[in-house]
Amino acid sequence: MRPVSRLLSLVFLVLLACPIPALAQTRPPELTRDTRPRNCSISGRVTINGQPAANVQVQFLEFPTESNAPQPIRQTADGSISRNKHKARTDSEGRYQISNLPPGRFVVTAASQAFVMATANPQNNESKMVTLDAGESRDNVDFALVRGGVITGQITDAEGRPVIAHHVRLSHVIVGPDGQTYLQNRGGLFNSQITDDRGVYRIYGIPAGNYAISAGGESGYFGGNKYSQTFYPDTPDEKQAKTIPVKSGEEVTGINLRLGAKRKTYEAAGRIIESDSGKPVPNIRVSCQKIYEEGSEDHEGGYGEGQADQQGNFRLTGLNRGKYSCRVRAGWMEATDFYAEPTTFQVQDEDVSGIEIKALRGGTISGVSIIEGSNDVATKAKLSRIMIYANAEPEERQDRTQPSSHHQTTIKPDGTFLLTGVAPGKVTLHVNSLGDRSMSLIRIEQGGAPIEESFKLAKGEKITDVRLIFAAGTGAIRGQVQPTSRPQTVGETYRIQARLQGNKTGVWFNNLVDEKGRFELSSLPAGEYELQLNGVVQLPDGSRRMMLLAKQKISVPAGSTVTVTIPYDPNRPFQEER
Amino acid sequence: MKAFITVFSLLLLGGIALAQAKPETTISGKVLLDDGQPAVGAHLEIYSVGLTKNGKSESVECDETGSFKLTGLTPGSYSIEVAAPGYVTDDFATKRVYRPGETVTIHLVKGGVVTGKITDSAGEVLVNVKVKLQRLRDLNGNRTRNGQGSFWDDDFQTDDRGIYRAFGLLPGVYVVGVDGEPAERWFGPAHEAPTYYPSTTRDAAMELTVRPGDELTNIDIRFRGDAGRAISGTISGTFESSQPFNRPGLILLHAATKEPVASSSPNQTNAFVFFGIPDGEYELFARQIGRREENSAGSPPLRVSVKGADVTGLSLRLMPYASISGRVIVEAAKPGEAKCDSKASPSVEEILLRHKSELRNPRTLNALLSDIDEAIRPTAPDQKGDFTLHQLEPDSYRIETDLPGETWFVRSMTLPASGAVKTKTDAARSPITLKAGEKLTGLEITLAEGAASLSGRVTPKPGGNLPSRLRVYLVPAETTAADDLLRYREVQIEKNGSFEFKHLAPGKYLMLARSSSDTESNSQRPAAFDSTERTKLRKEAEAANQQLELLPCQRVKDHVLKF
Repeated sequence: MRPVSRLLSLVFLVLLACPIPALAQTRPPELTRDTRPRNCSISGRVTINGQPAANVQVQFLEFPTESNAPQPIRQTADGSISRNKHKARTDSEGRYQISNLPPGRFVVTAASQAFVMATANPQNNESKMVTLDAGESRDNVDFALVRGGVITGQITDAEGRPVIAHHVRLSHVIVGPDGQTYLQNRGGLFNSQITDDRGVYRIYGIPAGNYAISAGGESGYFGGNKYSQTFYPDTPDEKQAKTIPVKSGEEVTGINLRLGAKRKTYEAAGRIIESDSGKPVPNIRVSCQKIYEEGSEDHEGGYGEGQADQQGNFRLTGLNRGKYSCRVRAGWMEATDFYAEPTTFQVQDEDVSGIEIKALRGGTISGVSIIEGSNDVATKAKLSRIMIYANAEPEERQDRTQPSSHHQTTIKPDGTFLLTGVAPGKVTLHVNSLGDRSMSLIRIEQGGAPIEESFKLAKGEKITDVRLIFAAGTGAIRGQVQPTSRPQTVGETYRIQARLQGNKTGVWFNNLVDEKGRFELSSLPAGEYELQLNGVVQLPDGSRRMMLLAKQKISVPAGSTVTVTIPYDPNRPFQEER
Repeated sequence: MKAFITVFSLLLLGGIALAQAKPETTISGKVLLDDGQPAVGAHLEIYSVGLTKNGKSESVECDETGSFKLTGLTPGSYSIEVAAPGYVTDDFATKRVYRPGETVTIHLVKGGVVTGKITDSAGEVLVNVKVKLQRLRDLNGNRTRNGQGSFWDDDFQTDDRGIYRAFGLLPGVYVVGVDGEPAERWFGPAHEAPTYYPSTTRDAAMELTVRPGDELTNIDIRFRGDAGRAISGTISGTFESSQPFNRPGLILLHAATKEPVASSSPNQTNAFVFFGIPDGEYELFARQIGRREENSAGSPPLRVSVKGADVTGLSLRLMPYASISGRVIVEAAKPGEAKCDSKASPSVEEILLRHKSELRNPRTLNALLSDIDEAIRPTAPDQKGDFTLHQLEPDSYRIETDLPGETWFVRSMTLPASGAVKTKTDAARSPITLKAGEKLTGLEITLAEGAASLSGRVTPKPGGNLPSRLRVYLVPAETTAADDLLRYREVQIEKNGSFEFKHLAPGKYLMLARSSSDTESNSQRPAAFDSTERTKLRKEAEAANQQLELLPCQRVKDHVLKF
């Protein structure tokens, strides 16, 4: 045990030994006692353009060390409820300090989103994670900032009227290895802003660099696709987009866009009938997605969704030109006996009617969920909060856009479950316990034999002997990566993941590795685990890349905490895992 | 941004097109901007009202002339929302439903704008913080469901200069507040109490009147960062465990103004906590709306007093809601009874039923939100006339009917014999009292053909003036009908003295116009509900001696009632 943890346990023991009697009797049921010592502190310095920044607000947000674990509401010795947010302000030297913090994990943020890190950083004004042990003082949590750039302008329509409440997109202009320039959408919060009632937009907190501005062309759920995509300066062609260089603290004004005429959208109407009887299928949902055809210049999206009425009739609105592929499914948290093969239709220059979707009676998958080695009613009741998902992958796709079909259900109070209308194909089952981690799926069996990954469902087949076996998570892994740190790419974080061996269907247990190289995974059912250490990098486009750094097998007996050290090669080049 | 606006407008020119034998399936109309120009491309969303099952929504866009046509509608009642960014409907106060066959004109006006700068106590600008505009009343001083129905009014954010610009605001009276938190969700609720314009607490907040097209500038707020208190407790009772996504919701209302202050949901151990609550008096309640309505539950509101310290140990208990189910029966015309000469034949699905609380139980949301009429969600019968009114708190209720067309009137409303009561009881005469979770069945609402209607105007005696609050009453003249509450009617006259009654049972009536007190005109409860008041009303009507006989299907227009 590390000395700091020993000190922590000591403090806990001391506090537990002398509870405050009055409070012990009156503490309301929703509260747990907050016995954490308030002897930690964080300090640092904020500079803007290298100069000390006075009066800057620094926020400290306390995060659970296990992100998914339910957080207790705590009561401090004076009877008040523990707060998880703290604030400090910098002095004239740009220095801040906060004390009286409990040990734990904090996210520290300085200044506002109008500022960005002075060093080249894909993220705006990145927050810093600080994990404090009891009594720890962390110094030099510094923020070197510059004011981000601003791009502002007005969006008007073909008649010169302001376009109100419309999205405006900011893209990075990057030069590829072939010397060509490309536009790359920036990830994060500030890649898009909406116009106000004057058509004015203002995008701020932009790191220095080269950018392009565009609007229109989105494929929205709500017929938002009214204008064709237009790039500054008023061109539909991405290659003609003008590069807007932005310096730190600079405000680039007059980046106005005049959008073309509103594009006409179309409607499509049809009917869903039972394939064999021709009877209408009521109250089922239809969703149609535009198919991107190879070699086509048309990159704009299209989507329509509707609910069939009692007579099986449906109508989709706001569609762009293009070819659409439709499928049917039950409404949210509802069930249907039907599925459908993809039905396609083409929207050219007019509304489409008479689409006929032939629904087929799907298979059913039913069975029971049980808890290994327990008959406790209260524990069993928890199963009813678990969602079961089935994903049916067609064995032979009609075309490459044919989606797999998704089905969902819940576990009934008696432990049984039933999925209906399942399309034939390769079926995989997943569960989601919605944040309640006390129960984990450890095995799926069919006819008494474990299912490795998936099973086959024939057309209309009824599979009745599926068993979902859950177990209570009573074990834990606590560990340390070695070395504790390595030269990190900006924005990189480490994550630890554990997966029960032989359970390809179960969820991964995962958590952050703190800045001291420590991690903890709890609520683990007993078993053999594969542990993975990954580096996660957020790329400038907002996507994440995960790199495998180390792998290790570990056994977790029921009810015990296993400690582990994971060595890895800090100089190992990043390998892309997935 | 007010993207969607529910159209509930009295000022709409709604005409009822006469139908052919086939049921109407179309609602068409026009959307116009304040300058008379068509709202080209305005997006309309239509929702069926009152259906618990098979409710659906359709959308359509206005063409170059601002016209729209919603087709393929099944019989029923519909509400229409218009999305025209920056614009709002010119009146929001009155609910309005549309039925297939109607032609409507919807007028849009430019939404109001409120703009200003937010700074902190040190004078530094606050960037990317939420600014909340809370609409308290409409321009007529009525509280509306906006801010209740959706609970939170729209949030706007400050930019890098600390400037916010709220636009597309409905006309009305607002307060503007800021809680100093970044707009990102992961920051969680504010821990400090909100500061209201100009730099004060909610109680001292300056109210802003926003008229159509108004732009109010320099609405600057200096955020004070006043200490906010925490409120915690537990929730127990019915949970719909088979709906894992369906957690109960908790809502904290300001006790005096009934404004929503904060919302929350319990954690997995059924504990809840609110942060950032300023000192004051509150009402806290919890609700869980099941996917099956019969599985919904709610807690009575709990009074919470916050004074200088956190409040802990609160306990809320969810109790299943009660329901009333029954059937609407349309009587076939009896021999000798007239069938009105009308081409329009309404469907039972177009009827809307509303439960109106008698406010007998003070610890209900009914009592708490009684001045917001639109808080009551209507229910529509199905094709067979079957209906269930769900989500009823333990209280006493009367059932109101909203009938389509002109030809129907309500003949009777009865409950079946039960227990000691051996005969059917008149459910219109006395209210229906429900215990928590009670599922009352067998309410029969009988409609008959041959309704009469009566419209006209109240005129003052020569040289006289009409009082500002004047109500017109209809009292059945037949003494046998003295306790038939379905025959009593009352209405507040319009500014020009006009009044209108529809769906009247044929028969003899006494008419009376009398000025009403403020309480009477604010209360939606008819005087006839109370037996003493009813007798008094009858005496006054007899003394006024303005008798009128309405024959089946008779349409009396331009009737002059002297006051």
